[in-house]
Amino acid sequence: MNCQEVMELMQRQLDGDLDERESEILTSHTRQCPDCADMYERLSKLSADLENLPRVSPSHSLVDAILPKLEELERAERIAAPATSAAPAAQADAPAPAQTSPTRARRLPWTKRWSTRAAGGALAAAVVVGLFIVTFDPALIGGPGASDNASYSADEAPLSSKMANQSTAADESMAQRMEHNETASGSDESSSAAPEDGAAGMTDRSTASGGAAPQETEEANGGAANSSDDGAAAADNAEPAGGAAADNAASTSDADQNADASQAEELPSGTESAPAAPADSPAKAPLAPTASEGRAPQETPAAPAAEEDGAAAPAADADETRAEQLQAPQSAGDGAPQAEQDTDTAAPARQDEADASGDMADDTQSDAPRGGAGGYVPEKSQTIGIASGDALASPGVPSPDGAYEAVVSGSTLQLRNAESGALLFESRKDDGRIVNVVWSDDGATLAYEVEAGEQSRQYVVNIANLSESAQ
Amino acid sequence: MVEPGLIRAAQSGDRDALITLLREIETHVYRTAYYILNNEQDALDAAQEALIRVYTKIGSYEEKAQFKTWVQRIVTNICIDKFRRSKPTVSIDEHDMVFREKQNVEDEVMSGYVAKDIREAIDKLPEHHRTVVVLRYMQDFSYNEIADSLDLPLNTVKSYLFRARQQLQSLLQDYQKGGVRG
Repeated sequence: MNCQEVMELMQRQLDGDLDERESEILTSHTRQCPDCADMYERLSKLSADLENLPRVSPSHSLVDAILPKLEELERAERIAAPATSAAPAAQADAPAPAQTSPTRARRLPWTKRWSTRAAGGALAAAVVVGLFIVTFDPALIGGPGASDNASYSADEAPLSSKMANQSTAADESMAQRMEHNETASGSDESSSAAPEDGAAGMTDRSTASGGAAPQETEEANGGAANSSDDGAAAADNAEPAGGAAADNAASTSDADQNADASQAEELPSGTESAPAAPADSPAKAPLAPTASEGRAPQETPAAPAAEEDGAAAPAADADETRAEQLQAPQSAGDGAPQAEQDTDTAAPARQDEADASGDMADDTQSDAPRGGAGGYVPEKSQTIGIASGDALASPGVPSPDGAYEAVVSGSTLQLRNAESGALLFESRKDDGRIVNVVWSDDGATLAYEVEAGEQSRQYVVNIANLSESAQ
Repeated sequence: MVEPGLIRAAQSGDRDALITLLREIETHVYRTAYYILNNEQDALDAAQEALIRVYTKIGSYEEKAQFKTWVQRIVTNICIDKFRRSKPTVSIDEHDMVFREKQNVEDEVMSGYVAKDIREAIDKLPEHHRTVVVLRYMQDFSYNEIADSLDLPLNTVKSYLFRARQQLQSLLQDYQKGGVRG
């Protein structure tokens, strides 16, 4: 036995990990090898010293210090309860009046308050509408007259295929997403909840599937109903326009993203998807506040609206061209068209953007801590929904001449062409929250700050050469 | 040792039980944070953050894991995040691991290290080595418990702990010899 091997024995001896035979080997070696004997002595001394390090205690009760914070969390959750159950209220057992679901939710213990169905529904809604926003391409909208656009896009849509396949794919990808997203308290349950809800919603929404997918099999029908269900639930306020839904989803997806940050008091680190909705789409901006209001408890429960929506939308758009057009983007963007259906601002997503959003979602999710509590997702969406309501109303910061728009997307700041939405510049990723995005008066530079913990760093983007520098 | 009954009560929505449970673990949480971050204020912040996280995530704790390792996982993760944001680390290779010659070794050993020296030496360890040492000595965790807390393989835990001790004794010897601080 050489000294190196004995070293390991010494180390394990310090942890009481040696059996008798090994101890003997160690003892007999150190008896003959003074170096090892010294080393063992030093290590033993060190180990004893480490054991004797002061058992420090906090100078004051940490729990007392955080009690106000905990109460705040509790309150936020209580407020969130009715609002978030309203979002997926469409899932409330089929014909049950949606008004009862918030009340019922309130009576449950706080850990149970978020049924996995509710969480699943909220997530599905977030994914659906979040994808819509990111994949939404304003370039393909000529104007508010949507029916023209719709047929135009349908022709253009390279990937349009039968609704059945697509919507099944949508369900699958959604289910996968939900499973992937560990913030769902029981991912399996929530993903299985989705189809179930779809089925439950079908009575109400048979027109939806019929209208949207005329020649479907029963299975496909269910799928279609399901996605419109999700879409509708997400777009609870979307009855008039998708802008509202967009904002809702933005807040919800922020919630996902922030779930791992676990700091409920933090504002959304980036209004991720919201800014993707272009500011120049006039229908949206005014409606945005409705979205945040929709989360307030006293608001009319969303479910009726959602149901109405789900049924009404396809009825209005029963035309098949439209149904096809809606399915144009690939699965990543599949959810989105459902929302478009409501909005009449339909436009197929650009594939690259859809991919980008997929990546983004993956990144966020892989950061989520294992076993994160699903229950907190809605709570956060609540906080954020309220907190950022104003910000969401104007998703981007337009340049003084209106040519550009600065959009916070996750941990980067994007500079986009206000007209086309084309990405001109993206700041480098910084670990923190982007705030105070301000254009200079002449529009030549764009300043912003990145807040990380206590610190904040300032950057300036030079518009002329599209470069940025730290201040 | 937190009673399983208390944990279950906390998980089922008994807020008082949850608060009681937080009080029981706060010192343990703080102690780990204190020795990983080597700074009282940072430790208070990290420990509070960890307690809030325990509060919000208690529903996701599963009994197949030990509660104490689950808690320590939360606090060490928070500390390592904080630590990465604020401090540059010293590579473990910067300190030689060779056996020293016998010169005056006895004297050094006998003189004893003060706790401050040890804390400074711990502070020089790379984050994972430090975390392993803290869990071993401040929480009296076994190899397996450390592995569970840090989600590391058992062998990695041993190797981190052994190397950390070697490095510590080497650093402390430097202190003793030259009276060098820092």
